[in-house]
Amino acid sequence: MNAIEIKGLTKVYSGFKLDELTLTLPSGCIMGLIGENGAGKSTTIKLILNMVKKDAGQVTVLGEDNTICSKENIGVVMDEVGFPECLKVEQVEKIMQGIYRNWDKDAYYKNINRLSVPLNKPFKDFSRGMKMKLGIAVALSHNAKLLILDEATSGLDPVVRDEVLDIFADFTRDEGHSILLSSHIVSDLEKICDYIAFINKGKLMLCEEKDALYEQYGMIHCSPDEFMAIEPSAIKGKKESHYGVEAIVLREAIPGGFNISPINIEELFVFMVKGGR
Amino acid sequence: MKGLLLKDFYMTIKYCRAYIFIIVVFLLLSFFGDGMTPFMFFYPAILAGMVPVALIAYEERCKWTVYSETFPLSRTQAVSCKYFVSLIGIGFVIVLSGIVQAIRVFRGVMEMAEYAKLMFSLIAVTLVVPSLVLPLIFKLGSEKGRIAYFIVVGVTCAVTVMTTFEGTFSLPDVAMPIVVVVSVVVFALSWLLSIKFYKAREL
Repeated sequence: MNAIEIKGLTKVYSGFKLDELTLTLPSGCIMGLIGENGAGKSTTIKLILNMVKKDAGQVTVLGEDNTICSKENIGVVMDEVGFPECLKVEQVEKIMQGIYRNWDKDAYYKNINRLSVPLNKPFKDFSRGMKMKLGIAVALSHNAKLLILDEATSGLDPVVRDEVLDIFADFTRDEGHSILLSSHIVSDLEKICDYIAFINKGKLMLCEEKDALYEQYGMIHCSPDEFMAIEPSAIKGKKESHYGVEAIVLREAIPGGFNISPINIEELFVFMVKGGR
Repeated sequence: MKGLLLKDFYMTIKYCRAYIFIIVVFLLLSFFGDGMTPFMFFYPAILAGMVPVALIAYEERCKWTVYSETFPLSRTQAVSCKYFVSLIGIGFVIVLSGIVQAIRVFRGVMEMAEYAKLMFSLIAVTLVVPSLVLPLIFKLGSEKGRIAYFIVVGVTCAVTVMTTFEGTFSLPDVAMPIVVVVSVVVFALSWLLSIKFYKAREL
C-alpha cells in the first residue's frame, strides 16, 4: 500500500495554480518536497490533509480517499505550531488525550524529554525552535503511520535538527511508517529522504528516488563552445560566467570526453529552478 | 470534542477571567438595586455571549484555527464546541441571576410575576446574542464578525428594554414563554447555520 497517492491534483487561487500534481509516496519511505517560497509545497500539504478544497484530482492517504480518511493515523507539524499561548506542556498533553484515540502519554513525555522541551513555561515564552519541537513531540505521540511535516526543521539549530532527523529516520524503521517532509533546508532532505519531489511555480518538475537522481544527473564545467555542442534536452540547468559554463546534465545524453562530476540535491534544485528562468 | 472543550476551559480561565469577574460583580450589584436594574441584570448575559467570540479571536490569532485542522476533528465538532461553551456561559449566568433575583423576591423587593418575566427575558437574551453573532463569526472570521457582534448587542439591548420594561412595545407576560421557545429554536438554527458556514470556509 502507498502512504500517499496523488493524481492530477489541481487548486487554483488568484495568481497561483497548483497544476495537475501527480506523485506517490510508497509506504515505509521518506519523501522530501522541495520548492521555492510560494512554489506550492504548503498548498500541496493542505490539500493532502483536506484542509482546503481541491479543484480537481484525487488524493489517497493510507489507502483511503483523503476526504473521508481519519487523521488519527497522521501526525502533522505545520510551519507554525498553533497552540494557544497560555498552554503548558502538561495541558497540551491533556488536550491531546481528548483528541486522539491512540494518544500515548508515555511516548509524549519521552519525546518531550528527548527534545528538551521546557515543562513549566507557557507556549508564548517558547522560541520558534521550541514550538516546533513541541509540535514534533505531539505528532510522534499518537502512533501515527504517516508523518506530514511542513518546514518542521526550520528554526531548529543544527544539533537539534540532526537529532530530529534521527527521530524521523527511527520512525520509518517500521515498514508501515512513512514521512512526507517539506523543507527549504535541502541538506536535511538529502540526509534522510528516499524520494525527492521538486515543485516549481505550482508544477511538479520531478519526483524520483534520490539515488536515481545521483545516477541520472551530473555537473559539467566547460567552455561556451563545448556547451553549444550538447543536445539541449540533456541540459537541466546552467550557469554562465567569465570562466565558462556550469551545467546540470543528464549523464546518459552527454557525449564522451566530458568530465561529469557528481551533484548534490541542492545543486540540482537550484540549477533546475534557475534554468527555467 | 473533550480535548477541544478542555482547551477552551484553559483559555477561558486564562483570557476571560475579567469577563467572569465582571459578570459576578454586575449580578451582585443588580441584587442591591431597589428597583429594576436592567443594565446590571442584562450586561452579564451579553458578556457571557462574548466569551466564545473572544475564544475564536484568540484561536485565529495563535493559528490554532488552521493547526487544529490537522487533528482528527471535524468542523462540526469545532463549531459545536463553541456552542457548548455558550451554553455553559448561559447556564452560569441564568443560575447565578436566578439565585440573586430570587433572594430579592424573598426580601419583598420584587414580585414573583416580575421575577418570572425577568428570567424569561434573560434566557431569551443569553440565547439570542450568540445565536446571531456566531454564524457571522464562523462565516467572516473574528475581525469582521466582531462588528456584527456590536450591532447585535445594541439591537438586542434596545429590543429587550422596549419589550420587557413597560416600553412602547412591551410584551404581555403570557408571551414571554413563547419568546423563550423562539429563542431556543433560533439558537438551534444558528448552530446548524454556523456548521454550514464553517464547512464552506477556506481557512
